[in-house]
Amino acid sequence: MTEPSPAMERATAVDARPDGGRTWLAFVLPGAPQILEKRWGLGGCVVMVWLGGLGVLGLRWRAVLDVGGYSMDEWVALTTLVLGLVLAWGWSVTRMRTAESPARAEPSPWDEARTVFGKNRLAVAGLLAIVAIYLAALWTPYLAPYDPMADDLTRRLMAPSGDHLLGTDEYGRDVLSRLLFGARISLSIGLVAVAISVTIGTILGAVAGYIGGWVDGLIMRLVDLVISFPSLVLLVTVVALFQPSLFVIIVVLGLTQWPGATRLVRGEVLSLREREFVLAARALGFSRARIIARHLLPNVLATVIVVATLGIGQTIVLEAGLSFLGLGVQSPTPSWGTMVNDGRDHLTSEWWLSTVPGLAIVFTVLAFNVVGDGLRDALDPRMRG
Amino acid sequence: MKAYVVRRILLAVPMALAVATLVFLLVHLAPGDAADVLVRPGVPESVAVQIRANYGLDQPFAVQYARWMGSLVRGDLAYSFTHGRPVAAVLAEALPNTLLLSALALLIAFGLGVLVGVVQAIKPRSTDSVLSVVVLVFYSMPEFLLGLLLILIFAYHAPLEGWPVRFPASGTRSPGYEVMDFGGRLADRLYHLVLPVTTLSLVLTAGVSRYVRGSMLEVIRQDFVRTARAKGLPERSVIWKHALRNALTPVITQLGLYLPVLFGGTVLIEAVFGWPGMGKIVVDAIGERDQPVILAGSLIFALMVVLANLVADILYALVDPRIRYD
Repeated sequence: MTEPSPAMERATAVDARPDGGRTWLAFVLPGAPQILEKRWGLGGCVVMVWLGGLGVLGLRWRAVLDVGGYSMDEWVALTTLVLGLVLAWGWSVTRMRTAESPARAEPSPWDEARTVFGKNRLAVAGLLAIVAIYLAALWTPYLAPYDPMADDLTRRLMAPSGDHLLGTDEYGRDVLSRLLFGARISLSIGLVAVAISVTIGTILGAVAGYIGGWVDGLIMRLVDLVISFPSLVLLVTVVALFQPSLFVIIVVLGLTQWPGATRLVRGEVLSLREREFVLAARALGFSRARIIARHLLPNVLATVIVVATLGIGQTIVLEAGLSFLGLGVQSPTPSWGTMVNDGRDHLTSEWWLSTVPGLAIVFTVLAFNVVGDGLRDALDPRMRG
Repeated sequence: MKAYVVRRILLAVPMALAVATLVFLLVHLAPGDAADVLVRPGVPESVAVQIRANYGLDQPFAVQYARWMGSLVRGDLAYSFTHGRPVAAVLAEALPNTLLLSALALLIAFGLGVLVGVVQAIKPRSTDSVLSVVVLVFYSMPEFLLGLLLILIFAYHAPLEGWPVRFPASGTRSPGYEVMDFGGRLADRLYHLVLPVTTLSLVLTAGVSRYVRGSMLEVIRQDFVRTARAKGLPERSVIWKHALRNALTPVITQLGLYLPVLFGGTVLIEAVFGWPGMGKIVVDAIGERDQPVILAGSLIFALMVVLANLVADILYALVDPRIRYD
């Protein structure tokens, strides 16, 4: 019997279960055990998400109990809030240094992608900007100094001042408050519409690519049909013919923006289906549905993530264009595009009315595009120089 | 090649008809019709009934569809409800304006986009990152915002500050256009085109150059580029002839995808600059529920995209002789 080597000793030390106290701590205050393990950044973030989320929920508790009367953006905010809390909690409880395997032989592609992405300072800055915009949108009811929809005709068209940091519009509404609420509308539309379009696009693309034959032909003709239609013209037609509301805009954007994802996913599936692991799955007698869902879709996930991130930016621009034409979100609900349009009449004198919400659009879309580019560079090994 | 082109054109016909049918369905599914818009409150319902009868809006869906398709096949785009003129005449006035705007923007965007993309791909990393950020800002900028900013600077502030560079904010020609000589007219038209075309082409340039850069970076690594360099060709020839020609192939296929974006852009640009084009006509028609104009306008937009795809495919074959058609 030889002495245990130092390496083995370290392995057993890492393998040891954490004491019960720390598990309980993770249940109550996720992130705290990570801080105790001196993982300051991650632990701190999780603690902040947890406390911040609980804080918002606590402040809004009455509204949460008061079922109904919710607008779409409030649902989106609430759902993501709860989801964030659950994720933070789950991550903290499961990711304590319990069974961290003693250094895997090779980093997984996802680990590699994370490293590459982390080195891309521009992309990281974009990600932080998105988080900041998102948090601002979430906290809007508490951050906004005034009611974004309350008219006050005695305070029309005021220049930026201490009272109104960004001035007031032609109905005396506080521009800063409207800007903050506009972030909610833009993000809600971007996130939900892209979720719809990417889901449709991915499923259709995978089905077309894997099954092929007349199914492929039919789906691709449909893609050609939707693509050959200028999307803004189609959107304008549909939205104008049916009364424009947040719901209609989201559904229409979701149902018209899927062909891009379909084309890319189909292309990837066409090359994946010839690979050996798909052949093996087929030899095992798995159904088509199972092969698509369990074997093909996970492999196109990287592409889908990139398409979705870049798609959110494009969708926000489209919605702004619709609102600019007066066909999007209707006044008095603040949307950035509507605000730019409303400010047009005062372009010569109160120029900030149009330009400030306009720059908010550029900033947000830029953040999503930077992150999308960063993700593509990180996830696509071919792009690595 | 000829057979391929003919087949593509034949395929484009059912495509356009499918688009037309889709729009027809949409217009019918939507609540409200032209009579509801024309009849103001207080006007007796009988007037609306009369209007519907005049326009044939009281007929069953199938009858209306068959009638419209019938006249379309004969090349008749029907009569506009609101303009009081044949739709063809209304659109014939607007179409040249839109085509002028989008064709100029497309040309500039492709020229400039290829140039910027190639420069990004061959210059050192620092130049590339600076240009990338600039391109990305324009890529993220909604057309209408850029248009408004340009109006703010060159149409409002320039005259106030007495800058020599100023451009009109809207319209296609100056008041004294009728009395100008040919040179003056041309200059006046160009003068009015500067801001809208700049806006449209800058946003499009960003998209094109992003694509060219990626495509160029891939091509530059390939063996034939190394071969070209090794046999002593000047760098200029290697990049602009050998590499670019191969890098452009995928870019040209994208042409068909840019066109819908371009036309979407013209709709917004026409709204910003008060440009009397197709986009403005169609958007106005939607507000008035002017069904024949909506249908004809969407059809023409779709046809232009289908045609552009065809042109892209033919260009593709010209640039890349390896492509075979059968």
